[in-house]
Amino acid sequence: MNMIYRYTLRSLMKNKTRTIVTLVGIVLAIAMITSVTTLMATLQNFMVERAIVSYGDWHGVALNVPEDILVNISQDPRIEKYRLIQNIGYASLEGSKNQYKPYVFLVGFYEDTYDCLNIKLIQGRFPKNANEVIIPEHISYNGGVTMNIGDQLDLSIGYRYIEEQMLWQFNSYEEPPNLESLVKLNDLSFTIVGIMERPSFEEFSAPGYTVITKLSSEEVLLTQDMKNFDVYIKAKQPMEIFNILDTHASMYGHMTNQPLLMYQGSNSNEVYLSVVYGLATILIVLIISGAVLLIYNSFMISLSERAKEFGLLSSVGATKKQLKTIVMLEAITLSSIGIPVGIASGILGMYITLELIGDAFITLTSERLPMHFYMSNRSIIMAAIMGWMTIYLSALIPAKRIYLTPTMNRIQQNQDMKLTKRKVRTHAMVKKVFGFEGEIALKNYKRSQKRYRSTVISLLISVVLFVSASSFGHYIKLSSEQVVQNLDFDLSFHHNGMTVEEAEILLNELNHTPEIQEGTFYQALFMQAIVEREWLNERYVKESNLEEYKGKIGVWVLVVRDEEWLNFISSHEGNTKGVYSDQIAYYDFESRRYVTYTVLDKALSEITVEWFHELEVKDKNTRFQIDVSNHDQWPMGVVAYQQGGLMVMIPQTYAQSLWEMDEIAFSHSRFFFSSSQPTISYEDMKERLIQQGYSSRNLYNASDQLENNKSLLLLINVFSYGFIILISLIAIANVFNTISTNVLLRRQELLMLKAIGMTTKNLKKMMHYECLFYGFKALFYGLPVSLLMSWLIYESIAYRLEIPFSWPIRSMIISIVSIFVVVFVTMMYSRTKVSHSEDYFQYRS
Amino acid sequence: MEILRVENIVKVYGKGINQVRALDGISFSVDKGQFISIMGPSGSGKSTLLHIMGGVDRPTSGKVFVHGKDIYQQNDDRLAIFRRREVGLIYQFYNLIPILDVEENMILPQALDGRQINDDRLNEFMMVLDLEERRHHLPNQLSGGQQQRVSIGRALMNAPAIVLADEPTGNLDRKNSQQIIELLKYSNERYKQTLIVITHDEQVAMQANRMLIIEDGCITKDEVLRK
Ligand SMILES: Nc1ncnc2c1ncn2[C@@H]1O[C@H](COP(=O)(O)OP(=O)(O)O)[C@@H](O)[C@H]1O
Ligand SMILES: [Mg+2]
Repeated sequence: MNMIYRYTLRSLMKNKTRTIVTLVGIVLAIAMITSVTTLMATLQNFMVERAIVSYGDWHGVALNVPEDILVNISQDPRIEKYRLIQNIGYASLEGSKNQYKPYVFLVGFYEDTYDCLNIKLIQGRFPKNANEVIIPEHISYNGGVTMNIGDQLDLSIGYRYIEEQMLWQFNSYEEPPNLESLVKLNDLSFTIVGIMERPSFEEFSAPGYTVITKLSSEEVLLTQDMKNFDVYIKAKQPMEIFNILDTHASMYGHMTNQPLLMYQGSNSNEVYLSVVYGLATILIVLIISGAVLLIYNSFMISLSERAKEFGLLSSVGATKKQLKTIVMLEAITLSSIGIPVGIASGILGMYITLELIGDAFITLTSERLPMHFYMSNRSIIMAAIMGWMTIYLSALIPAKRIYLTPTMNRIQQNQDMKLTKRKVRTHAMVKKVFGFEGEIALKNYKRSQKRYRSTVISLLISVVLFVSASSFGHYIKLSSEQVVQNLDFDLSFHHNGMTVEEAEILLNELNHTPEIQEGTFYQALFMQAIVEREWLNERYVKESNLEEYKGKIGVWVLVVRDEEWLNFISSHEGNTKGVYSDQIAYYDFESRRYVTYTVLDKALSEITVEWFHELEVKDKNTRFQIDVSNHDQWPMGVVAYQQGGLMVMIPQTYAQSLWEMDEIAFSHSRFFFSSSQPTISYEDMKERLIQQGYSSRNLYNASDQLENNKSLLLLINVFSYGFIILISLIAIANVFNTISTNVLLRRQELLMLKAIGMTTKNLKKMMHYECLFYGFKALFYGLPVSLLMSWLIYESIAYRLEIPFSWPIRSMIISIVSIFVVVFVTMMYSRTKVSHSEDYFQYRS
Repeated sequence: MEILRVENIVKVYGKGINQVRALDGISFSVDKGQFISIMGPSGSGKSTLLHIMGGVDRPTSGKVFVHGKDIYQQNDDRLAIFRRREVGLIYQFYNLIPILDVEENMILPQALDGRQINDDRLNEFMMVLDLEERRHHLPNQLSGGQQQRVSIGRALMNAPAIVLADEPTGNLDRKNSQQIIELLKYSNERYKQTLIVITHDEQVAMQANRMLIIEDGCITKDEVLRK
């Protein structure tokens, strides 16, 4: 074996404690870096899966292309796969209430089309042959045509034209004067076997509701033999799709799947990614600075201890390159153990964490996807590279310092570092308070500033790391808690429009959902309130630009069911007819403050309101007086209105006495339910809503959300505490390393003090005072720097949310206490090691 | 034949009021195969001179010629190679690498040079230095005399042209001291090596061909003892 390598291995083996501490540091650091990079990969993969579920597993689509170009596409080596939809034709939708969507658009899926396009079935099953179809749910809630599973659907299919020009889904409906026409070709009849959500490929402006049937490969449904396809293409290299579309579809309509490309492609300026990368950067910077310090210190100590040895090597003819090789071999040896172990434990840790709580993400997104552990080669290579850079730099810098010292000085160097020659005066007070030992400790401390510098710096950075990590966890937790609300209902549903009668019918229907305990709704109207100029709060006038005041301001009028009203009012004043609020509360991003004030300076006992659009209501009587009193407590779900300005709440009977309720379509209606089995109720209620012609998309399972939010908070807690613990371990390892080496380096001096008559007790006391001195010094600089770091972290992650800056008092106290604990424990440990060493004389020679 | 020439060497340590003029214009020349002893009070600059001759420490001014070549014209790496091929250094405190055993310490310069170890030579040294039984002991398992013999072995393994010893017997008793000097003289004669020894021991100094006395960084006496 090569002599240099033998020497390196031998010195690693000889300094076992430090080698182990260094290895632990490397493993911890690499594990943390790996968990950050795999978490990022997992998140990115999650976003990709999300995009695939929502928009499909394709990069680009060529629209309405004829059959003959398929040959070229099938031979393009850049294409991973392509899938087809056959555009069959249009039929008019009898009774459509949406004037821009007067058609049904029939498309044919093939067996394999589904692996590119994700169709979300709400009820029933997928079609099995060309006699069956599935229909979208919005044909009912948007088009107003109710159809059910099992119904027969008869369609006279044909093509849309303006003059000779054939029209497809991206040509929206042409009204007069360009009036388009539908040329019918065949009468076809289908059985409805399922209901799906609106497919993502149907644009909002498309004139036909998509209906899907199943075709076998050669099947043609129309007599006119013209096949027209949408070709969904997945490229081998996502970004190649632009060139691929250029080659094959430049003459046709084409689109790319932007959301998928964004997460699969390399460059993207989306906010989400910048936030994720921003957080990851903060984490990695914190981790690496802790790790560099630890590893750097280890190398620094072991190299300066061996400065003399290096001098010797060089005096017998070792070149700089050979000395450098020794240091690098040491780094490589440590890395070759530390990096793989670190990466493996990082992956394992992240895998376990995500397996335990990755399901929390199910309700974070409308796609209801769990987040699965995902690791990419890139994330691991990145971790390995960052780890190696950390180790390399940590070894290189101290090594440089050693080469720069002239050979002579290295040979002559004593074991001890040079002491400052300046005279050290200790105050008489010190002797009085701390005694003789204190005085020596202080002299020691002041004379050997350099020797202590490494310890003080390690302590300082440990404090900063700990406080920063805690602040980081704190803000992440707060901001996630803020997103998570505790709601006092299990299910809610909202719908724009609806009269009282319609709402009552729906409530009655939905109340029959299994497991529902209670249900209610309120309905909101946007009206105008007649308010004197003098009543208005000046701040309101200014911020709402009401300088040219016309005597009216907007007001939300909420009508609640009488039962609800009685429940609500019984806990307040007895015979109130209506209540109002004029609070304004919002978060101002510029000043980063919560702003609250009232609209009015005056308390009102009645409010005069009128219709917003006077012409819309035939009723001659357009102005109403509402008796009210001011309130600051509201039933659930009302908060949003309450903080937006003027808001009035009245019961239905009172509303009835004011205006003709039957004719009023409310701006929107919200329903709330409590349930003993929310999940069961949710599934059933979805079907009921569809049958009643409403969108099930607006049904919201709050309890489900709550459960998942709880696990999300757990996940975040695990992350932030895990992170804090790991950082603290690094910090402790670091402090232990520097202090114990420093004490061991002073072995001779300490034994000398003992030899001239210091008792063990004196010695102990002296060393404890030294601990105090540099503990204080580290805190003196460390605490302000930590505060600054916390503020920076606050600035970068928390200011967008309505969270005030909070002083990291707790983590500061913890770090003060633990600094002294760690320092004292380490000192004691190394002191006993010194006392037990018998080879004093041998050491000296 | 001249092997080493030192010309007007000045060495200054430190700056300003801390400045020390360790060597103040030293010149002399050494013939191949000579055994020279250097004496002088502590702090007079002996060690500094030895290191400068050995290519370990650059002089502030002046030149050192070995085989007629100015050694400090070379860069640091060439200088390191010069040291391991041409110079053997021996110190008072042995300066062995504590984690390498006797054999490894001895072959260190050759190993650094990447050269094939000369086993015959190694075995011969082991025998002459009486270290055969200690071959795989670590330095801290050896007595002072044994350690010094290892460091002599290390200095001689590469068959250097010049052997420089800085108080090689300073830490040893009379019996061990004489043994070490005998060894040095033996190699001086057998391999025609040039030997320069710093010593405080007059008995040791008197065994040389020539004696230099240094005081305050200057040569105050240069005496030929025997041809
Ligand atoms: N590395 C150094 N830095 C500063 N001064 C030094 C250094 N080495 C030696 N000196 C000074 O140079 C002078 C000569 O030292 P040295 O050559 O060791 O003397 P000697 O070996 O004769 O005892 C002394 O005054 C010593 O203090
Ligand atoms: Mg000396």
